[in-house]
Amino acid sequence: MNALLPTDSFEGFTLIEMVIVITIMSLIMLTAIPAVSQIFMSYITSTRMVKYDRDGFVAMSRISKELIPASAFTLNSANDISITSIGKEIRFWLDAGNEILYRSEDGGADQILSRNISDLTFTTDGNYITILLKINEVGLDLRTTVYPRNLP
Amino acid sequence: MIRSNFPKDLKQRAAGVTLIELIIAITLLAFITGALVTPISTMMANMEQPRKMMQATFLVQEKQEEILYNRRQLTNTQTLAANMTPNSNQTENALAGFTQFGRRVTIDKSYTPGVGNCQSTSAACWNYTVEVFAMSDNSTYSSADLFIQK
Repeated sequence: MNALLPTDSFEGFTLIEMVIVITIMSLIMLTAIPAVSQIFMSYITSTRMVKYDRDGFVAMSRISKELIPASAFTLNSANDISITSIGKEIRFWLDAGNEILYRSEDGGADQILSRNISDLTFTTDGNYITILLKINEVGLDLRTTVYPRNLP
Repeated sequence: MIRSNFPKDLKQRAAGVTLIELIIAITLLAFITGALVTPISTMMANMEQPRKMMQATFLVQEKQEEILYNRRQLTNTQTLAANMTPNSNQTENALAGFTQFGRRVTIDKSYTPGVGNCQSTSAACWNYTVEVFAMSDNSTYSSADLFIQK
């Protein structure tokens, strides 16, 4: 077991050696910490971005898909639309305070279509409906325009 | 027993590392860390790509919807050549609200009536290619074809 203990030849580091090493390590850490921190922040941000982007994509796809065959629509407000689509009365509306997008069908209960939606705006000239969806948390903006096929 | 089995050079190594060895090790570690930072940062920056493709796809859909609507407005007596909008190539730079993107419509009017996809035997068939591209380097983020006939 004595072999594991310091031998006579082990003299250790001098004070000046320790000061030099600590100084070098401090300089390296000062340089590396912001970079490593940035990597971790990027990772966290990108993970959130992927999740929120997927939410936005699902919401936007669902709305536009159901608007295309619509035969009538009514804008209840800028972020609340009711449509008649393939024989169903469908409503999409945004609870802006809680950032929740709801969908209901034939007067039934509101169902959550997507969370984290900061803004959903419908604009129209009677022939088309432009949908603008925003998720401010990750700076996502999506826009598309639909011309419902079956309007009178 | 343990002591007797230890090679002689290992006993000598117990003297520890020298200052120069320690500095070299720290420097190598710093270089390795530094070399990893750039590729990881680049990889994270590339996470923006799928988002841009998604935005571009909806903007392509927007233009296609407009083209299809214009097509539906044509009466039986109207023709693509005389009444369709657009009826020539079109480029929009820095789209409103999405200034990082431009949008291009390219029309291929070379389809012969009755041949291939052009099932109409008398009227023209056009293929609209709608592309959304980056204003910065003109690279295409999303593209789709729309075949119409009259």
